[in-house]
Amino acid sequence: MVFNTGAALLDAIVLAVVSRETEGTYGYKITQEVRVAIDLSESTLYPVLRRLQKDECLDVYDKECAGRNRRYYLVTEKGRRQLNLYEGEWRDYSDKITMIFEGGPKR
Amino acid sequence: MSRWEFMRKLEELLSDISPGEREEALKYYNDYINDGGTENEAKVLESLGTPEQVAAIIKEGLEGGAGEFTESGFYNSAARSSNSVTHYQEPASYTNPSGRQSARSGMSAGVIALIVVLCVLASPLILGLGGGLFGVLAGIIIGALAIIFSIAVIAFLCIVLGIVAAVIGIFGIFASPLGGLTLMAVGLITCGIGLLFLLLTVLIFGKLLPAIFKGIIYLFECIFGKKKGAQNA
Repeated sequence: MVFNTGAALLDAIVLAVVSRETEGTYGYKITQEVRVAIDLSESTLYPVLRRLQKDECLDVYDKECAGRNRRYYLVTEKGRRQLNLYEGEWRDYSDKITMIFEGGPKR
Repeated sequence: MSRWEFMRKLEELLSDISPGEREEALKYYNDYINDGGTENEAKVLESLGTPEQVAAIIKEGLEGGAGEFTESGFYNSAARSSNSVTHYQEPASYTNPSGRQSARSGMSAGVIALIVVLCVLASPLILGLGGGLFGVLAGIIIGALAIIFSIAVIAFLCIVLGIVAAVIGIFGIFASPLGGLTLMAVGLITCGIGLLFLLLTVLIFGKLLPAIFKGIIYLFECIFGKKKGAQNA
């Protein structure tokens, strides 16, 4: 992609991906789903998940799966509010950009 | 490299971070390789990168470095603080991000306006100084050109007159040997002086003028370079 993805946008995408699963989801799956939207290396999502966890936007728990414990991520209440903020900001931003691109009316 | 080698190497590289953080990271990457599927193990390991790269990414995250994903990969930027503005705050302070941004852009616009006003106010001074400097420079350049031109004219005249005198002298030898010889000698000496001036002219055009032009170009580059710097500041 020619446009850079800042840390805030990446946070937003990760929160959105995790929030879609009510039971929570795990690192590999999150990475694959984020990679649908943006091109990032497979190993770079860990610091983002860890930071969101420390910021109390994500909760983790271990669930047994195929004879081993897999770590699951869940969006917290704080994470949900943060995601709402991001989504609002994104709508505002993308609307303005779209308006400029398509030559809409000036306010 | 097998997954065990990968994990062992990663653990070794993470030996200088806290045990809790190390365990978290190792757990994550171990899970990741498991979830990638045992049949894809080599591919998953390859896509993760080398243990050194993974360790660097983990440590960068611990240092609070927020990165940016660009076309060509992950870049860490020092612009963490500007991103933290957009983090969720209680509704009362929600307007903070846009407010801070407009204040910043307003300040820079103010600075630009101030510079423009100063330039306009100082224009008589700038024009006067500039005009004076331009006049002085033009005078120096025209003077220098005149000197070079006169040297060339002297060279030409000396050579022509010298040759004429020498020829007249040669013919004069038959009429009055002493006078003719003297005239011929003076003519040859004049011719020699002319050749010296010619040499000087050639030197000026060959060496001095290019050097002066280079100097002027360098001067202009300096001036415009400085102007660019001032605009950026």
